[in-house]
Amino acid sequence: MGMKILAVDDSPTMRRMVSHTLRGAGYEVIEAEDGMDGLDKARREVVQLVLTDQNMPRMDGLTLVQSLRSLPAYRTAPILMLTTEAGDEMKARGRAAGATGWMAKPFDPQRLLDVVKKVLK
Amino acid sequence: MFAAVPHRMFPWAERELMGQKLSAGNEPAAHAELWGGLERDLERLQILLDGATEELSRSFCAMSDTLAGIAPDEDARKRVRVEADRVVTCLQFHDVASQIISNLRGRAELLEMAALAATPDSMVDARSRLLADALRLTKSRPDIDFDKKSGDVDLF
Repeated sequence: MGMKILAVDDSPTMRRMVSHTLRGAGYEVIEAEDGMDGLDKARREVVQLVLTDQNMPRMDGLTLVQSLRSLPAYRTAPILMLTTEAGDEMKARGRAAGATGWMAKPFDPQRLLDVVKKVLK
Repeated sequence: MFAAVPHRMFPWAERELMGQKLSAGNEPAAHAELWGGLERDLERLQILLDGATEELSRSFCAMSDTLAGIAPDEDARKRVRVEADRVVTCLQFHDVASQIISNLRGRAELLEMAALAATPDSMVDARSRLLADALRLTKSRPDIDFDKKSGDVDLF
């Protein structure tokens, strides 16, 4: 497929699980350990999709979404939140920040792949 | 800073406490020791979880990739994938557990501050006895030695 996906999460296990799932389906995955690292990597290499956690040190997921949306390369690119935060208020904030969707952890690999496929169409 | 907490919210204050009172001078040290123990245990729990999950997830990914590569047909590959997907979902317990530990630390800190701020003079003796009891309880449950490596043996 050759699509690049940026997976941003401060938990190494989560990054590994997301990468394992996506790589197994043929995607190329770039990992970042927090919002700041994610923003830096997204600037250096344009990806087709960003998957980000919310609660992270240095820069959280919503701030990352807002920062990415201000960059021309990510104005319309899909950005999915993948987080344990599942409250309606947080989801509304995610939507307002420019997130494309919200997925609750723990994720089901097949469900994640279905959603990724859908937003990358 | 904190609203006064009604006495009935401290059930231990109404309980008959068996222990002896600490002297006024020892109370801060006892308190610090208990608090330090709680912090230490939570930190160790987090380290244990991090280490175990790191090893588990690394080995699982390697094993899953290998199995998918050697599966003889599509049916076998599908069976490997179904089982692997289950493990991927389960291994995410680490992220949730880490957040619970972090929340627990924050809540314990707030409770401690609230309890200290709300202790009226009439309950200082009860608090002192409670601390003495809690310290004795802590000392009767020795710390686990986390420096030991897997399979380490001590011969005496």
